[in-house]
Amino acid sequence: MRVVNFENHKVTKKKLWQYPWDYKESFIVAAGLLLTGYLLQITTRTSIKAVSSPVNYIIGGLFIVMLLLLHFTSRTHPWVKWLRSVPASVSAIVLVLIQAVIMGTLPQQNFVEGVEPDLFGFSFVLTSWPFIIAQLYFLTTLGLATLNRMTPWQWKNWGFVLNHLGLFIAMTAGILGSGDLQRYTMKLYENQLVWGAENEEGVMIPMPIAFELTSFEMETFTPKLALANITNNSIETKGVNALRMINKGESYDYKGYKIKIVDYIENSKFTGNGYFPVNEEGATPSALIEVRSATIDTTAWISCGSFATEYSYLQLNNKEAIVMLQPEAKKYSSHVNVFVKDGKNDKTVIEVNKPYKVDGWKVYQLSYDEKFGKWSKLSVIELVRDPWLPIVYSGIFMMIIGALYLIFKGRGTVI
Amino acid sequence: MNYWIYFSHYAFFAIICWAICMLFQIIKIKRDKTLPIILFAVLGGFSMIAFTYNLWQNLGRPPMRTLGETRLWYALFLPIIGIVTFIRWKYKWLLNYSLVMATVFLVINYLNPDTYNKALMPALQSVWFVPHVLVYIFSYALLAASSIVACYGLFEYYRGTYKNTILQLANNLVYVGFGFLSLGLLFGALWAKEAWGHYWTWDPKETWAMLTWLGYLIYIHIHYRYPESVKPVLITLALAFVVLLLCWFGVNYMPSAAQSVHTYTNA
Repeated sequence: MRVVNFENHKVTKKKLWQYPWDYKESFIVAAGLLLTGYLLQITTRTSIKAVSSPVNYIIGGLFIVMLLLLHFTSRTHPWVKWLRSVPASVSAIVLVLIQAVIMGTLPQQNFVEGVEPDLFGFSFVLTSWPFIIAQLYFLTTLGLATLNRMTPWQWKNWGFVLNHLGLFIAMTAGILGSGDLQRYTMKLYENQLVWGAENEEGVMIPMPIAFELTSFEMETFTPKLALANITNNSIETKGVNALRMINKGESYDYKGYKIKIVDYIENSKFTGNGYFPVNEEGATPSALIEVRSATIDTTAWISCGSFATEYSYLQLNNKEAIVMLQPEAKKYSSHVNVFVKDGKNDKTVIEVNKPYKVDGWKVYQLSYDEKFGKWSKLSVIELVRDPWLPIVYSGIFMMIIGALYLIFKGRGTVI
Repeated sequence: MNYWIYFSHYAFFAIICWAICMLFQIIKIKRDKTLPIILFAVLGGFSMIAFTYNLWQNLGRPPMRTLGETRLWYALFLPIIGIVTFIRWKYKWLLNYSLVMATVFLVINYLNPDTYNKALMPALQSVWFVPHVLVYIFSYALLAASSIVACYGLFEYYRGTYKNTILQLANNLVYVGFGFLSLGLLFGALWAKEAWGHYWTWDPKETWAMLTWLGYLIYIHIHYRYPESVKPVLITLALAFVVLLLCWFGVNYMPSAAQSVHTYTNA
């Protein structure tokens, strides 16, 4: 323990830039890298595009060869020793942290619509120079530290290696693989065979797989009742019973009103003086409610309406009304026929959280025509191909085991 | 039927139990007996377990969607962490802190009753939902405890009564908490691939979750390098918690979060 104190002491005594480099030098280098990043950003004013195959494989290969060469030829060089040291790592983490703070706080172009690009890249951190440089520095320190623990191999280091190598693999493959990631959407209308998909810019791209929507199906939750302020069109959300899912026969209290749900029809239509069950497109949920308070005692039909039917609400006074909210989706899925160019045919159901795999593509249920809700004749699916995914996943699984190691063995041990 | 109407009964019972537990620590003759202290802490904890279980059954979905529901899980996990560390290391102040914090969460929930909502959007209906959220909440509770240990350590440091056991305790909590935090992040990535088509989309909440992870990563590395240094390490730990709080509460209010899938609504 004394030794460490002595080292501490030594660190404060040594001159700046005298080896071994410590926190001070590390943070000066990091600040230099940050400055370089912003200078590059300001002068080039570019948003860096992810490179695709084969360039990303070459860059990845070169980067790993560079790390291996640095490690095996200059392992004892003070710079290499510094690059794999904790101070360099901490300064690299801080550099990534600074960029992530900007990304997490200011609206980003890839996330919020209508954000204008700026000089420093604050609105597109992900593809700006400072972030790329921060990641490169981070991966260099991480890679060298990992290599140092891996050679020569010692079993006691397995926790360290899983955590560090896992992160290195997942991050490197994630960054390089983003150039090869293909993500397209396909609009399927009932009984139409579709071969083309749209990319993010809306350009049509011919696909090797075709889909034909046989039917779009949706289950909804029962709608909710809410108290609305009709003077400013807002809905009351405070209180246990503010938004109450309809359940026939139930009664509850809210803001001095005693509300009873006398009847509920999932598919109904307004005819003359009330709602009646129907089995047709555009039918709307409706409920017969009874409302009692000191000033009111009434029973009325209300409905949230649909694309084909008007909504109706119960006005309580000149400010408040009881309204029915649009039902929320519980589950939606597309029944499709799949045709692959080489002749394979399939029939499947694509549902949220249950993607369908075909020919290296994963197909996701994305959306539908919200105006028509469960009567939608349109289903939007998303096709994703990510050839680097197995590499990223191998890194992720290493980190999962590494995390379990931290939980069960981490404390007190050297990791 | 809305099970939240029974919340006040369970919460009241738990708070009374925990108050008795703390009372036992004050009364002179009972002070050195640990059994009644543990017993009442556990009894209050069971009340929260019972309520959470019943609410889950009643909602027909895991109660993990709204902020009020997550507060409930803190009120459940914090006492568990407090009780376990008390049994293991006999830290009374940490037990009391966790009970007080749990009480605060219960009172907040009592004052801001959650709206009744059974709806769970399709993307959230996944086998990953429960592990992702539970692991996260558990890690947040552990890391919160570690940061309060750090603050206590700083307080002792300035009073000149600092003992090294404080940082050891904080370190134990951080390692376990950080392990769970990593699991939460990684489970989230695996889930996102199934639900949204990509494992990492730089959604503001994801970015802040990564920031939290980086914060504790810095602490672990600094402490590893100079195990003997105290003040900078304790300050780092306290700061990491600030990032965690920003991630949990702050993201909803940031300009970046306009289209986040993670903004918790009370509706």
